[in-house]
Amino acid sequence: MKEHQRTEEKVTFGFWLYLMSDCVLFAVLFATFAVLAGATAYGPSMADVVNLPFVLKETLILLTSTFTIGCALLAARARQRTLTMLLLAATFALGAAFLTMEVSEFMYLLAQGEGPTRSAFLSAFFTIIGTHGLHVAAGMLWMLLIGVHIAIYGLVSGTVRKLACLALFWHFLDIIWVFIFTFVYLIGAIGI
Amino acid sequence: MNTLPRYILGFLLSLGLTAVAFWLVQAHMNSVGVLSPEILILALVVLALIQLVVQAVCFLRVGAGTHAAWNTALLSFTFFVVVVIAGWSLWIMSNLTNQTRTAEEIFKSEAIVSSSTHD
Repeated sequence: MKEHQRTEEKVTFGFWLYLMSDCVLFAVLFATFAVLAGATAYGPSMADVVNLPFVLKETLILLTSTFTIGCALLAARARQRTLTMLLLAATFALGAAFLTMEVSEFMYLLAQGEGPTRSAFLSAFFTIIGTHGLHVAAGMLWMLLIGVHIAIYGLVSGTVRKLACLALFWHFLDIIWVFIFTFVYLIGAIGI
Repeated sequence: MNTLPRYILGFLLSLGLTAVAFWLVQAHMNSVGVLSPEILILALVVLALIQLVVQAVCFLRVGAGTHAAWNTALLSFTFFVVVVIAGWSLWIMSNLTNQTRTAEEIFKSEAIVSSSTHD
């Protein structure tokens, strides 16, 4: 048991290293977006593109999902298999709802002829939101695999360790979203 | 070890901070806000940073566990790198923008198009 705990701590520390480098990736995207936010090429600006109530819904969905995955990890540590599966399923459903909303936002903009090719600002917008969306999609795939793992092997310590890393990843994505919500959407809506 | 009360606290605080930020901007858009745009942006940045700390402590458990010192050191260094990349890019680029002529100014001075082509 002691050995398991030590392994889990090592693994989460390694995963933490990855998260920090991913943080730098997003920092570059944020810097790019901030620099290009004014380069609208006579096209729409962020204030024209943003739909605040829609984005608030996305934010609340992602925030709830980060809470449910935290609870899933607690349930897994308490070796409650059914509860873990239920909470993972809830997180997956919330993630799917979030991703659907992101895609529908993209589809709407593309239908308006306001795709990433329209202006440097829209390229930066699609890149930062798209990169976050890809991370969420990857997290959902990972969640699915862990769900299958739990269904087959039960809550063995290796699976719980994987779930702990996934929970870290998901919490990290929510923190990135807080900054997207603030810097891209809210400050963009004010439009200076 | 993470506990449920800690998650609930983090969740509720995050909800509250998000709601306040959203409400501030909504009030500004409906012209009932009392803050000037500059103060409003400052307030939004502060709210986001508070939420970063709340989620880092309540969800990511920064500052707990045996590797706490290493985790926190890494996080601080990453924060430094992020500030350098994002902050200094903005600083440099805004300086460049101030010193560079816009397309219209160049067109006008080279008599390529009249300044009234775009409004």
